[in-house]
Parts: sequence; C-alpha cells; structure tokens
Amino acid sequence: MENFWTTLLYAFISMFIIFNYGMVLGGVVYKIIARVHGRFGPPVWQPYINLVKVMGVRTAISHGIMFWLGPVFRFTGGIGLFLFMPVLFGVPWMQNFSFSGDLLLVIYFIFFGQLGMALGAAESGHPYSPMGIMRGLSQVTASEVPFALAVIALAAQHGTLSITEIVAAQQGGIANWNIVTNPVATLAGMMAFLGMMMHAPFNLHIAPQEIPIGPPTEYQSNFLSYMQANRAFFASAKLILFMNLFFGGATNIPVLVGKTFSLYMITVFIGVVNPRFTLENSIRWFIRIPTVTGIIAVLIYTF
Amino acid sequence: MVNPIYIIAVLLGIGFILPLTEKKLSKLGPWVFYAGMIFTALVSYQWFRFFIVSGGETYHIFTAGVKPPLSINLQIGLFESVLLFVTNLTGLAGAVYMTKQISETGVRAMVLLLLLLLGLNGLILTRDIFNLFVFMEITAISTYSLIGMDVKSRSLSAGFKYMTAGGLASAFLLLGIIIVYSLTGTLNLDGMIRSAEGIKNVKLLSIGSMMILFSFIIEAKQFPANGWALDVYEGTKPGVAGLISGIGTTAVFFGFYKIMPLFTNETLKIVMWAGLITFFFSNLMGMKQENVKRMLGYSSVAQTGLVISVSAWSFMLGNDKLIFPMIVLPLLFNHFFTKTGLFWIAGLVKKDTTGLWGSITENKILHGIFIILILALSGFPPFPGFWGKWNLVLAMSLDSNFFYIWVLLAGSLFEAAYLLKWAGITLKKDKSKDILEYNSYKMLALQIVVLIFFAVTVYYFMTGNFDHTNGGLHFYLPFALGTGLLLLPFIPEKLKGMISMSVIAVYAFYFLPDQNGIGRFFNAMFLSGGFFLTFATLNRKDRSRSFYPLLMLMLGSLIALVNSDNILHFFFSWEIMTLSSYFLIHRGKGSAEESFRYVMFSLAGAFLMLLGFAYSFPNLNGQMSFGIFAVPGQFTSLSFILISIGFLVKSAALGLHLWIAGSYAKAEDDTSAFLSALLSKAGIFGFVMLLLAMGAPSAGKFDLAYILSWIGALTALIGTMMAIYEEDAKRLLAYSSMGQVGYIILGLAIMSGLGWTAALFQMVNHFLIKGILFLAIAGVIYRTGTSEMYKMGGLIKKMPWSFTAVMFGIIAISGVPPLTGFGAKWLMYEALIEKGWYLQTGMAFFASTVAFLYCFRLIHAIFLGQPKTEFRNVKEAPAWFLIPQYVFIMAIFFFSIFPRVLIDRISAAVEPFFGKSLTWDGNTVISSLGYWNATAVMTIVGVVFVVLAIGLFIKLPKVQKVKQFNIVFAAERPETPELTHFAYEFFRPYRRAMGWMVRPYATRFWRSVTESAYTVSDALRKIYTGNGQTYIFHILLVLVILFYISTGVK
Repeated sequence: MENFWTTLLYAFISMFIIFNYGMVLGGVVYKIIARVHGRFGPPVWQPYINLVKVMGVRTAISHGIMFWLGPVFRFTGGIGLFLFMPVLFGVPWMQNFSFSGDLLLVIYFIFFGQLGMALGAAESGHPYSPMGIMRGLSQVTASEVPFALAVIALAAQHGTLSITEIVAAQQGGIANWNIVTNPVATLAGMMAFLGMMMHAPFNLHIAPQEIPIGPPTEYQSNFLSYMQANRAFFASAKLILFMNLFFGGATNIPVLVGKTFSLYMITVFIGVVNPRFTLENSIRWFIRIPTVTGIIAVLIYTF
Repeated sequence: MVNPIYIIAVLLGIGFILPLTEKKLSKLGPWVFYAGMIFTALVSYQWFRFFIVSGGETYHIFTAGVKPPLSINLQIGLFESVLLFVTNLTGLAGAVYMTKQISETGVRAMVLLLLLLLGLNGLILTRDIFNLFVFMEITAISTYSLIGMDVKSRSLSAGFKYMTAGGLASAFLLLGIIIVYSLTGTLNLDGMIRSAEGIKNVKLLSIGSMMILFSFIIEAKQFPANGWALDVYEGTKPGVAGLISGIGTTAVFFGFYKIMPLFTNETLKIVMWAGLITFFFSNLMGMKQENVKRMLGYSSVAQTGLVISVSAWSFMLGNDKLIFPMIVLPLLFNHFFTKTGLFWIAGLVKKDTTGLWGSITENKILHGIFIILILALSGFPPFPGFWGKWNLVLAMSLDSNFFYIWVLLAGSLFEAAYLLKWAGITLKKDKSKDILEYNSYKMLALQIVVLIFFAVTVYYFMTGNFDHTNGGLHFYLPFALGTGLLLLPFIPEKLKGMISMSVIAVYAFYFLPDQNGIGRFFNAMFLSGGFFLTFATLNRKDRSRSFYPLLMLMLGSLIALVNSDNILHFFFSWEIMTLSSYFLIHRGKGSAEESFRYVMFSLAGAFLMLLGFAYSFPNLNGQMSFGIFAVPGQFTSLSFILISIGFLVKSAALGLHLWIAGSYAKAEDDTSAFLSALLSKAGIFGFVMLLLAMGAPSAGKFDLAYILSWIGALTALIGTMMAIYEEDAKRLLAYSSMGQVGYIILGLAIMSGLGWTAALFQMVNHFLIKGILFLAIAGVIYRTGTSEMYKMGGLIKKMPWSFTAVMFGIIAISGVPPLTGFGAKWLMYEALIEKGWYLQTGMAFFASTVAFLYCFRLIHAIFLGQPKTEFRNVKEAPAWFLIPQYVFIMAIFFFSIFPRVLIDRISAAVEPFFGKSLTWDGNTVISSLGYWNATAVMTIVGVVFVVLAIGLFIKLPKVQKVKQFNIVFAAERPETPELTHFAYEFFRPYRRAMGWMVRPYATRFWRSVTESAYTVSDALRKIYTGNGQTYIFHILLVLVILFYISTGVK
C-alpha cells in the first residue's frame, strides 16, 4: 500500500463492479429458477427494481438500537469480507485491502455480519426471528466443519494461509488448480459451499416465501435495501473465495465472471431440483459425508 | 528441675489419699485433684523447656539408687519431654472438660483420671519392659472403668469388649516378655536391644517378639482386629473418648515404639503394612459412617495405623532418629489434637448424626474450631499433618516405595471425603435449632487444646522445610491478608473490600516491575484481575465474616503459586488455593453438593500431582527444586502423566469436568467471575511450569504432548457443545469457560513459540472476557433474581450498559474480527497448522463455530426478544458491576487495535524457550504461514460501519419507533409476552442432530466410581457386628494370619 488513496480508489472501483455483478447474478438466478419451474420469470435487472422499490417504502419501523444496527452490521460484514479478499491475481487494482489478513481473517469475518444481523433481528421481539437465526447458525456450524477441513488441507498442501499465494501456486493451467492437485479437499469444500450459499436443500433458515420466518421478514424499507445490497456483495465474495481456493483464481474479469458464474450455477442447479432439508437433516448430512471427506483430505497431509 | 519420678509419685499419692479422705475433706478433694494435675503439667513443662530451649541431654532416672538390671529406670529426653508435656496439659484440659462429671461422680472419676494419667506418664517414661507392661495395665484398667462409669448398656458393653481385647493383648505381651527375658536376662529395654543381637536361639526369640507383636497389633487397633475399639469410641462419653483417642493412643503408641527395635526387619515389615492397611480400610469404611463418634473412631484407628506404620518403616531403614521428629511427630500431633478436639466438640453437641450438625454455626467460635480441626485432620496445610504427609511421601519416594504412597494417598482421600462432607453440612445453616449443649468448662478445655495445637502448627509452619529467605513474602501474604481481614470482623464490608483492593494495588506496584518472563503474565493477570473483580464485590450488602478473608486467601495463594520456586511451595499454595476456593464456592446458595464435588476432584487431582512429584523427587537426590523434572529419571513419563492429571482437573478437562458447571453456577455471582477469570488459570500455570521443566516426554510410542493436544481439542469441543444446551446462564458460561481453557491447553501442547504465544494470548483474552461476562450476568441476576435465561428476555431496554458489555464479550469470545478473540484464534490456527496437527485444527475450528450458538443464546434469551411482565421495572445493574466490565472492555479494545503490545511481550517471554516465531512489518504480524494486520482490520471495519450507519441515518430520518411488544406476525397480535419469547430449549433441533456428542459418559463413569466406593465401604463395615465374640474371632483370625506370614507358609 504505497499510496493509500490509490488503494482506496481501486477498492471503490472493484466494489462497484462486484456490486453490479452480484445484482445481475441474482437476476439471472431468478430467471433460471423460473425457467426450471416452467415460468417466464422476471427480467435480469429485477434485483435493481427490488432495491429501488424497498428504498422507496415509507413504512420504517425500528424496535430499538440493536434492531437498527443489525443491517449495518450485516452490510459491513459483506463489504468487509469482499474488501479483505484479493479479487484478481496479479492485477494491482483488484487486490482490495487483502494486506490486512490471510485466509483465516476472511473465514472469520464471514461471521461478523451474521452475528450482527442475528442480534438486530432478535431485538425485533418476534419469536420467529430467533427461530430463523437458530436454524441459520446451527447449519453454519455444521457446514463450516468440512469447509475448515478443506482449508486446512489447502494450507497443508501449499504451506501458506495467504490467499494470494494459494492462487499463485495454481497458475499455469488447469493441471495446477487445486481441484486437480487436491481433489479430496475440493470435494469437501464444495459440499460445504452448498450449505454456505443458502440454496436448497440447505435454505430452511431463509425461507420467507413459505413460512414467515427469519430476519428478512422483520425488516423493511432501507433496512431491507441494505440487506439486499449486501447479498450481492456477500454472494460474490464467497464465490470469489471458492474460485481462489479451488479453481485457480482469475487474472482478468471475463475469467472471473466465467468461473464464479459456473460455481454459482452448481448450487443453483442443485437447489432448484431439490426439496428443502429440515435442520436436523442438513446438519446430519454435513457431519457425515462432507466431514468424512474433509477428514480424509486432512489425513492425506498428516501422514 | 523436678525429677519426673515425682510426677508418678504425686499422681499415685493423690490417687490414694482422695478415697481415704473422701468423707472428711470432701470439699478439698477437687482442689487437691486439680493441684496434682497442674503440678504434673508444670513439671513436664519444666523438662520440655529444658530440652527445647536449653538443648539439654537425655536424662536417666534410676529407682532405688541402683543401676539396671537391678532397678527400674526411666528416661526423659527431648521426645519424652515433648510427649509428656502435651499429655499432661491435655490431661489437665480433660479434667477441666469433665468438671461436671467429676462433681457428679465425686472421687471415683478423679481417681480414675489420675490413674490414667499415671499410666500414660509411665508408658512414656519407662525404659523397663515389665514396668511398661504394668503401666499398660494401669492405663487399661483406668480406661475400662472410665468408660463404664457412664452406666449405660452401650458403654458397659464397650468397656467389656475393651477389657476382653485388652486382656488378650496383655496376655500376649506378658508371654513375650517372659520369653525375651529368658533369653536376654534383662528387663531393661536398652539392655535387651543390645543383647538381642548376640542370641543364638533365634527361633525362641522370634516367638517372643511375635508374642509382643500380637499384643501390639491388638492394642494398636489394627484392621480388622479393631471392632472393639470402634465400639469403645462410639459408646464412650466424648470427654473420655477424646482422652483415649488423643493421649491414650499416643502414650500406648510410644510405649510400643520403644519395643520396636527388638523386632526383626521381617516383623517390622509386617507392622508397616498392617498399619497402612489399617489406615486405608478404616478410612474407606469411615466414608459410609454417619455417627459422629464412630466416624471419629474410624479416623482415630486409621491415624494410629499410619503412625505405627511409619515408625516401623523408620526402624527398618535404621533412620528412626530423623523420621521420628520429621514425620511421626507431626502426624501424631495432628491426630492427637484434632481427635481430642473433635471428640470434645461432639460432647457439646446433642446430636450424634453428622447430618444434624447444621446448627453448630450458632456458636461461631465452636464452629471455627470445628472447621480448623477438620481441615487439619484432612491433611491440609499449614497444619502439622500436612508436613508429616509431605515428608512421608518424599521420604518414601527416596526409598522407592511408590505403592505405599498410592495406598497412603487413597486412604487420605477417603478420610478427606467423610470429614469434608461433615464440615460441609455444618457450613449450611439448617432449621434444627438448639443442638448445642453449652458448657463453659468444656469450652475452656477445648480452647486450651486448640491453643496448644496452634502453637504446634506455627512451630511446624516456621520450621517445616520452608525457605523463608527466598520469596518468603509470597507465602506469608495469603495468610497475612486472610487472617488480617478475619480479625477485623467489625469493620464494614465495603471498607474490607477497599483494604483488599489497596493491598493488591500496593503489592502490584512494588512487585510487578521487577518481574519478567512468563510468570509476569500470570502475576499481572491475577493482580489486575483481583483488583478489578474485587471492585465488583463492593456491591455486597450482607455482612460476612469469611468472604473477604477467603477471597484474599485465594488471590494470595494464586500469587504464591506463580512465584513458588520449588515443589513444596507449589504444592502448599496449590492446597491453600483449593481450600479457599472450596469455601468460597460453598458460600453460594444450595452449593453443598457441588462444592463437595469440586473439592473432592481437586483433592484427588492434587494427590495425583503429589504422586507425580514423588516419582520425580529422587532424580536430584532429595532436592525440591523444579530441576527434578529436567533430570531424566526412571519414571519421567509416569510423573508427567500424574502431575498433568492434577492440572487437568483444575482446568476441567474433558472427563474431569464434572465439577465445573455446578460449582461456577452455585457460587455467589461475583465469586464466579473470580473462579472463571482467574482460578481456571491455575492449572494452566501448572502446565507452563511442568512443560518448561520437563519438556514433553513420551511414554513408549506415545508423545504425551500429542495426547495432551487431543485432550485440549476435545475439551474445547465438548465443553462448547455442552454450553449450548444449558438453560442457566452461569452454567452456560461455566461450560464456555471449560471450552476456552481447552484451547489454552491445546496451544501449550503444541510446544512451539507460536503455540505458546497463542495459548498465552488466549489466556489473557479469556481472562478479560469471562470477567466481563460473569460480572454482567451477576448484575442481571442481582436485578432479576434468576439465572434461568428463558425467564428473562428483552432486558436490553432496561439494562443497555450490561447488554453492550455482553455484546462485546460475545464478539470477543467468538473470535470474530476485529476484536481480540480473532487474534487468539489466528495465532492458534497458524500454530496448529505449522505443527502439522490438522485434525486438531479442524476440531478447534468446529468448536469455535459452535461457540456462536451459545453466544447468541446468552445475549438473545436475556436481553433480546420479549420482556417479561415481572421484570417490567428492573433497573440497570449497579455501577460496582459495570465499572470493572468497562475497564475490561477498554482493555479488549486496546489489545484489539494494538495487539502488538501484548504479542510482543508474550513472544519475548516465550522466546528463550522456543526461539523466535513471529516477525513484524509495521502493524502486520507475520508467521511462517500467514499474516494479520489488526490495526488495518479495525480501521476498515470501523470506517465501513460508520459510513453505512450514517448512510442509513440519513436515508431513514423518520423511522417509527415502537414498543417492544408492538409486534404482529402471521396477521396475529400476540397477547402474552411470556409466550412470545422463544428461548427455552433453544437449540432443540441441534440437539436432536448432535446430542450424541454430549451424552454424559463421564458423569456415569464417576457416579459408578463413587457408588462402588460407598458400596465397598458399606459392605466392609458390616464385619463389625457389635458382637464381642465376633471381635475376638477377628483378633484370632488376624493372629493366625500374622503367624503364617511371619513364619512363612510351608
């Protein structure tokens, strides 16, 4: 960070790109789901319309300071997560503030927004809010296990926890990607990925359409706009993380779009053809095959 | 100097005169009696002073002016004078105790007491074996009569049983004396011992000594030939029972002690093991006993067995001159005074069942004496029993007799179990009033005995192998603080708290700057934590005599522990810490069972630690420095394992954690913060000490540090898992504490610079967080009166400051950046991956995500959701609680922004042992695997957060604020907030999926262990049927067995 202002400017540019990318991605997913359901579906720019609409809603109710701060925590979590990650390998203006910390920082910062959101929604006083949070948190603890094991296996493989260095080690063709060099860890990581992207069968906790449950139902107006904007950042950030960890990263924007889009589609396709798991089901699922896979991935490097 | 023969003459003389002049001088009788008693005490004091102060030489008295073998000779040396003095003084106290009985029964009681004392004095003084027999008979006859004086069927039958057993013993003794006399031609003990070596007829001599041994075994109440003795203790009036157990046992023991040199090594070996077996089994059987006097009887028999066993061993080694004052005397004194005292206390209480002793607290002094005597008898420092046992364990280890130490400590644990259970009952007030039978004579006598005991305790404390020059201050500090505050019961509580705080502050000011190394962190933590957490105690309204003394004793012992420089200092402080924390926990409501569990686990752990010390002790030829662990010895890994178990108990490691939730939860709310924030670090300090001294040895193929790492990781995971299902906030935090300490153990086990940095960073982090959380919860409980989380809810509006504190606490504990918790996690994972322990890393990671669940639950169930009607008017927690919380929060923020301040210091302390593991580039810390810039993270997060918050504020100028219960869901308006707060069994689905992880295997295991111990205890004691014939059968059985053992079965 020779020049702080340059870094800041670059960060804003990358944020702008990723925000729009995330929004469009969301729209594409709406479309795909609709088509699978046999509907025409909304336009791909529907998320922008949604965002503008909720920002214009005049009803804004606050249940207290923590409730008010919940979306702020959530959005900070999403943006922060993105900012701590190097986006494009070897491209100086897409490194964000990744000098702040390594992979562990990124993984742990995922929880920042979730915890803040949980506190905020819980203050709403709705019994369903904590229920949704309980479901979300419970599932996260389970899906994090294979993910952590996959990350540990990668760290053991490359002898580093720096995302940039992990990406660097994968340069030079598909043969060097971790999906090829470390398929077991990738498998474990991708199974965890399903849980982390909040698509079926692991989306019980964000199921507002069918049962009025979870934080999104309690927030309106600009509170909700923060949460929707955050989803764009958060989803993209997670996609970039997985791309960096297992699929060789990206050196330019088309590659980035191509890889992250394909990654996202995996969860969308699985989600769209699957029913929803109950909480117990999904926890048990994560604790069995993905975790065992993760343990195998780690054991390979232990012995 | 008055010739000690006058003691015998005067006692005998008065004994004769009293009945003769009963009618004429009836009023003068008691005066003469007491004068005689005082005379004996004075004469023995004179001799005592002569030997102790002037260091006089052993003095021989020849009766009839002729030398042995023609005359009977007496001997008074240092030991005799000491025993004589305490016996006569206690005898006098006994006479005072029995004043009422004496005035009722008249001359008879006086004569019997005089005769008893005469017999005992004779036993101590004489060097003539036949004379010894005579004095033993005098003692026995006067004892039966004293027992039988209380004309009740129980006492009469007890007296009769005593007579039968005593008769048998005398018969054997006489036979033995005859045989030995026929061979040696002398009755003088010294002569016998001298000429016994040259005797050719070895067979006959061994038969003679076997006869004496038989007599000895019966008279010394060895297991199982001791049923009669238990009946005697139970059936006799406490005044007499106290005398029998105290001075009676002592003098008889000393009589036999003089004969012991006659025994061959084989015989001594039998005596040694018989004594130990008696100690073990009597204590085991005592566990199930509820009758006070009979329980004391078991303890009495056990203690006698131990003393005899050690004496026999000392003669085997040929080292009796050293072992007698170092081990035998402290053990004997400990038994002597505590047993006399406890029996006499039993005489002041109307109830015989331990369970009914709750109201003894009505008399504060009596209760205080009772507790002190119980602690002394249980072998806690600083009482003589502690020194005796400590020296015994170490001496035994030099003799490589480890099995003996195992049995000894197991027996001691049983003894502590029943004694502390009894003490625990009296610490809780119950409603049964009027159980005391106050009598000022009895109190006076008791106080005399306790005073002498104090003197003896101080003597052993001052001479007890303690280095007073080096760091001595630390060892006096806890006692000075504790007793100082105890002696100031009249000053207000707040003042006591402030005095405590200022003492800590002054001490820290003078002491901390000179510190360096790892110890400094512990010192700084204990002192600063002690200071700020004590601040919270200023909120106390109730006056309490014991709270601040105990608190200061605990803090002082923690400081002493950290600054100890050898194993004695360490163990001493450890015991004091255990004891003071036990009493602190016991102060909480309904805590009797939980605190008992705590102290039993701690004590068992401490005993294993002592065993571990013993296994390493011979490495440096009897030095007590920590250096013994650095020298590779035969038992290095065993020693490591045993000591580790001691520390693991204190750290509540998985499997040894049973005590933690209950004792943290039931302790008073402000005390829990001390327990979790400070006391839980004692085990960690132990590991630091042990690992630095010993490294991490391997046992066979197993690397012990590797095993330790799994224990740490599993503790972290399962502790956390248990926390999420708790309904009680304090139990939740207790399990959280267990999990967090698990991380610290895991970090230490890595045995690398990074691992230790992680562990110590985590330790400081945990100290701050648990200080905040426990105090915040204490404030909430103080206002709401409940610790069940689901009963609360929505308190954020009433207690915003407490809420904010808890919020920062949970963010920090869960490891979410940007607060310190992340630093701890970052260091830990980097260290674990660097070490190559990937599975443990995964487990630690899992644990840390599960921690989110309880963190959220804690804050949601209490502060968020719907407020309950009954707590509509609660106020914010008192400032006393809040101020320390916010001091800790400031510390957390400081270390979050500038972790370098802490990490640099930790690395510097760790570097000498493990080398450099971290480098810095500005604010970025770089390990071999990754990097982290806390300042940047904090700045970025802070800026983004503030910008977004301002943005929302601008865009939402007119947000409608609603009351907490103003909610609608699914088109319905809820009617009762009680039914709208979702908090009970919050993680039920999670439990359905993951509950298998927290099945109570450990609880079941330990329950079966205790239950089997009690069952065995109960089954064993059934052999004492109360039937005299059965007892005689036992005696004969033992004699037959002894005969076969000593002759060798062919």
